Amino acid sequence: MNPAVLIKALLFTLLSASAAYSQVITPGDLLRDDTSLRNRYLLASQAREQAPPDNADRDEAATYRKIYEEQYKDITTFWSGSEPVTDPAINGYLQSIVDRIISANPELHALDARVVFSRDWWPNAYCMGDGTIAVNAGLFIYLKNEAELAFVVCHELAHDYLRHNEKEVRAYVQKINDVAFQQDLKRIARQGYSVNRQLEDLLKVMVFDSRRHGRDHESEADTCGLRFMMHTGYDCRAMRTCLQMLDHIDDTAFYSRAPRIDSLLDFPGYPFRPSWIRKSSAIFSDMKQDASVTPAEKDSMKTHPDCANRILLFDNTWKDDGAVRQDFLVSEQKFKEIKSRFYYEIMEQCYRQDELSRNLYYALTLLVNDPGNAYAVFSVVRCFNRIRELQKNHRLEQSIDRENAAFPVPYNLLLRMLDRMRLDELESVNTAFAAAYGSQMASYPGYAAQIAELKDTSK
Amino acid sequence: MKRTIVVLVALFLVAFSAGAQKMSIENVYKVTLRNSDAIRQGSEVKGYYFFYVSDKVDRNTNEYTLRITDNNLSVLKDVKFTDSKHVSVLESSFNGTDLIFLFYNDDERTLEYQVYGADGNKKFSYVRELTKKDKAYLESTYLSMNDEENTYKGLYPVENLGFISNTPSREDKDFTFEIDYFSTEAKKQWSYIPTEGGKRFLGDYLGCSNGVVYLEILKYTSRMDQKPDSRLVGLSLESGKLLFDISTDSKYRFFPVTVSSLNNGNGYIFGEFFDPDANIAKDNSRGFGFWKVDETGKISFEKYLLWDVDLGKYLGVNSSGKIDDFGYMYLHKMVQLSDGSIYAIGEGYKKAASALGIASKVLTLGRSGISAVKIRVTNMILIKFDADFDVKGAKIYEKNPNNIEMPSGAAYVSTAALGKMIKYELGGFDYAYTQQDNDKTSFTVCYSDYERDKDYKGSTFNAISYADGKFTTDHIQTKSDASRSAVLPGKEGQVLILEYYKKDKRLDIHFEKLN
Repeated sequence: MNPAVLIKALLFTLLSASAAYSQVITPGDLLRDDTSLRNRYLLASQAREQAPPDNADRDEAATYRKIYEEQYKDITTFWSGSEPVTDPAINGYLQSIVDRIISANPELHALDARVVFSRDWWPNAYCMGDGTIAVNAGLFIYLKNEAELAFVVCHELAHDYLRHNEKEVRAYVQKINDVAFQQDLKRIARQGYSVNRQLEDLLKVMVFDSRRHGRDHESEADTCGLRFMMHTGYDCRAMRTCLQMLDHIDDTAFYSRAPRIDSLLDFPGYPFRPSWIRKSSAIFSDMKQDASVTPAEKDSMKTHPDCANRILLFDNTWKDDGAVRQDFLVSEQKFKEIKSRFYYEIMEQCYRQDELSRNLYYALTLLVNDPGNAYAVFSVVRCFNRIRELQKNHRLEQSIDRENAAFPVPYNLLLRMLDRMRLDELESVNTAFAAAYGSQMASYPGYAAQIAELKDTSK
Repeated sequence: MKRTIVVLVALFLVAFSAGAQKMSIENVYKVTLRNSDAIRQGSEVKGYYFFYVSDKVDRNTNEYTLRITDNNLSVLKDVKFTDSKHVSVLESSFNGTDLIFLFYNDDERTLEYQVYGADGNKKFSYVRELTKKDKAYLESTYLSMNDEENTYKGLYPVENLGFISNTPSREDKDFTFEIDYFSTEAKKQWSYIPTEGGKRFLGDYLGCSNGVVYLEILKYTSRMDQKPDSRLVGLSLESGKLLFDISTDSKYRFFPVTVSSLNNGNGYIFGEFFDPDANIAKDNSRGFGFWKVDETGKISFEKYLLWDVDLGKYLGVNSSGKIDDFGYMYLHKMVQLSDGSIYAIGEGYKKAASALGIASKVLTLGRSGISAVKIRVTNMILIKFDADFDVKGAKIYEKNPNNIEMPSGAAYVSTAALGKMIKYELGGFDYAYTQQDNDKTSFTVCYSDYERDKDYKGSTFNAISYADGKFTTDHIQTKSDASRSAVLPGKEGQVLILEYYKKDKRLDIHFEKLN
C-alpha cells in the first residue's frame, strides 16, 4: 500500500456504521487469548526456521543467516506479544474460512500456514515468510463481508504458496554479493570523494529494482489469489470491492461522527481553552515538501501497484462462469460481531502499546457515537492518567503522534491539544471529565483505581 | 561497507515517511551542533535548520546540506551546495519573513551573509572582505568563541525588515566594531563603524524600536584607559544615519544593558546606574533603572530603583547590589504580560578567590594570565514589576553554581561590566532563552544546570514556567551516550534535544515536553 495512504488511513475514524456492543463492556469482557494455541503456532514457526541454501557461498550464507535471524526475531516477537488474536471462537471462525479455501484448492494442501487476526490498528495484512499470515483488525473492520476477507486471505496464501518472501531474500542476497556490485562499492570507497552521492545513485537503482519486483509479486499474488478464490464458492467480485475500499481508505470511517474535542472536553467548571487548538501561523507554506524526490521516483518507491491497476487486472482476469457465489458462507452474524468487538480490541491494544494519542482518539470517537459508553469513559480517564505520568517523566514523546497533513483534521486537533497541554491542565481536564461521568461509573470495574490515581497525582 | 548499504536503504525509505516527531540524519560527516538552531519569530519557534557536511567532493571541496524543517521536524527543504572545505556557518537568524546565515571562509577571509526567503530560495548574498588585521582581531574575539558552548550572538533580527550584525573590526590602529544592516526587502545594506573620540570601542547592540537602532558604546582613549566614556547611540534603521550620540550620564551614570520592547510597542532600555562621579568600569552600581529614549536622543522616561531600598523589600540586598548568597544580577530578558505586569529574568554572579589564579601567580611570579579572582555564576532570579516599573516581588531559583576562571585584570572591573564580560566574552551564564505565548498570559524561562547526585551525574535542562497565575519548575536530564548534545527551543513548553553520535555519523533529534 502507498505509505501516504497507509498513514492517512492511520487514523481511522474506523469504517461503517456497524453496531457496537449493546451491553456495557468492561476490560474483563475483552477477548482472552488461547496461550497454548499461540505457543503451538510459535513452535510451528520456529520449526520452519530457514537455513542458507546449499549452493550459497560463504558471503552469501552469512547474509542469509543475518536476514533469517532478524526475520525470526520478528516472528518470535509477534507470537510472544499481544497482537495475535487466539480467542478460540474468533480464531475458529477465521480457520473455518481458511480451511474452506485450502480444501477447495488441492495445491494448497501441503502448505504449512498459520493465519491469524492481529490486533494492530492499521489496515494491512501480511505474510511473514514462515507460514505466519496476519490480518490486522484495522483492516478487518473495514471489510464488508466474508468474501472480502476470503480475498485478503487468498492473496496472502498466494504469497506463501509462490514463495515470494524466499525469492525476495534470494534476490537481495545475490545482489548484495554480486561481483559487479561489490566492485562498484569498492571503487566508491577507494575514491573517498562524493561517496554519499554515488552510493545513493547505486542504491536508488537497487531499491527501485526491488520495489518493481515487489509490485510484480503483488500482481502475481492477486492473480493466483483470485484463482484460489474461484474454487471456494465466495463471490470473487469481492476482490474488486475490497480494492476499491482500499483505494479510498483514508476517506472512510468506522463511526459516522468524528469527535469534537472542544465540546467533549468542555465543562462548566473547567471550560475548554481555544488556545489549545488554535492554529499557529505558518511561515514556510511556500516550501514544497520532499522537493528532492521527483514524482517518478516516488512512483518507483511504491510497494504495491495502484489499486486502479489491480482492479483492471481483476476485470481482465475474472470471467463469470455463472456459478452461484456467496458473500457469506460461514456466518454473517459472527462476522459482524467480530467487527464490533475488534474496535475495542484495537483500542485496548493501542493502550497496551502506549500508543496513547490513538487510544484517546478511539475512546473519544466511541464516546461521541455511543454517548455515555462506559468503556469509552473509562478509557479516556485511564489514558489521561497515563499521558500525565509519561509527561511528568519526560517520556511522552514516543506515545503521541505529531500533527501531520495526512491525518484527519479532528485527530490533528487532538494532537495539537496534547502537544500544548501542561501537566496541571491535563490533570484539570481529566478531573472535570471524570466528575461529569462520576455517577454512572461508580460500579465500573477498575474505574475507582483510575480515580484514586488521578486524585493522588492532583495533590 | 555492506553495513552502510543497509543504513542508506533505510535512509532512503525514511525520506518518504510523513510522520516526524523524531528525526535522524545519517551520514553526517561533520556537524557542529551550534550550526543547528531554531527559526524563531519573536519567541515562537517556527522551524529549525541543520547545517552539516554531507559529502566530500574533492580534497578542497565539501558538499554542504542546509536542511530546513517545520516546527514538527517535517523536512521542508534540503539546500545542497558545494563550497570550500574552509566554510562554516557562524550564526543564523530569522526575522519573521526571511532567514539569514552568516558563513565564514577562513581561507579566503570573507564573511558572507546569505538571505533565504520563506520559499527556501536564496534571495541575496552580502560579502564582507576581511583584512588580515580584521581576521586576527576576529580570531581573538568573536571566532575564539566558535565552539559548542558559545553563547555569543552577533546577528539580530529586525522583524520583517532585515538583520543587524555586530562584529569586531579593525580600522587603522583602532580596535572597534562594525554594525551592518542587511535588508531582506531589497538588496540594501549600510554599515556603521565608530572611530572618533577613542582608540578602542566596545559596542553592544541593544535593540531596535520604532525605526531606531540603539547601541551602547564604551569609548577608551587608550588600551590602558580604565575609565571609558559611555555613550548611547541611535542610528536610523532606514539609512544607518547617526540620529543621536548622547552621554549616558544623566541624574546618575547609566550603563545600558538591553532594550526590551514591551506590549505598548515601546522599547525600554534596562541598565544599572552609578553615582555621578563613579567609574562604571570599576565601581559598584547603586541600582538598576529603565530609560525610554526617543529618535532624537531625548530621554522621555527615567526610573531608578535602589538595590537595598526597592529590591531589599523582597530579598536581602546590600547597597552595592549584592544579593545575599546570590551575588550580583545580570538581566537577560524582560517580558510583559497582558495584565501589564513585567517580569525581569536575571542570573546571579559573584567574585570569589581563584585557587588556580593564586597558585599561577605564585608559580609565575605574577606573570600568569589568569586572574586571582574567579567568577561564580549562581542562581536564577525573577523580579516582578508593575506597569510603572515599581518592584512588586522577587524570587530566587536555586541551581548549582559554576566557576569561571577570569583573565588577568578582571578583579578591577565593575560588577556591571563583569556581567557583560561573562555574557559576551566568556559565555558563562546558564540562561538559555525565554518563550512567551501569543496571548501574553504565560512564559517559560529555560536554563541549563549540572547535577551531581548519587543517581545522576550530568547536565540538566531546566525551566521556570508561569501560567494561570502560578510558577512551576521542571528539569530534564540530558546526559546520554551521544558524543555531543545540545538543546534548542521547541514550541512553547517544549525543547528539542540534538544528539550527535560521532562513531555512527548520526544526528538524532527529538522533542521533550516541559512540565
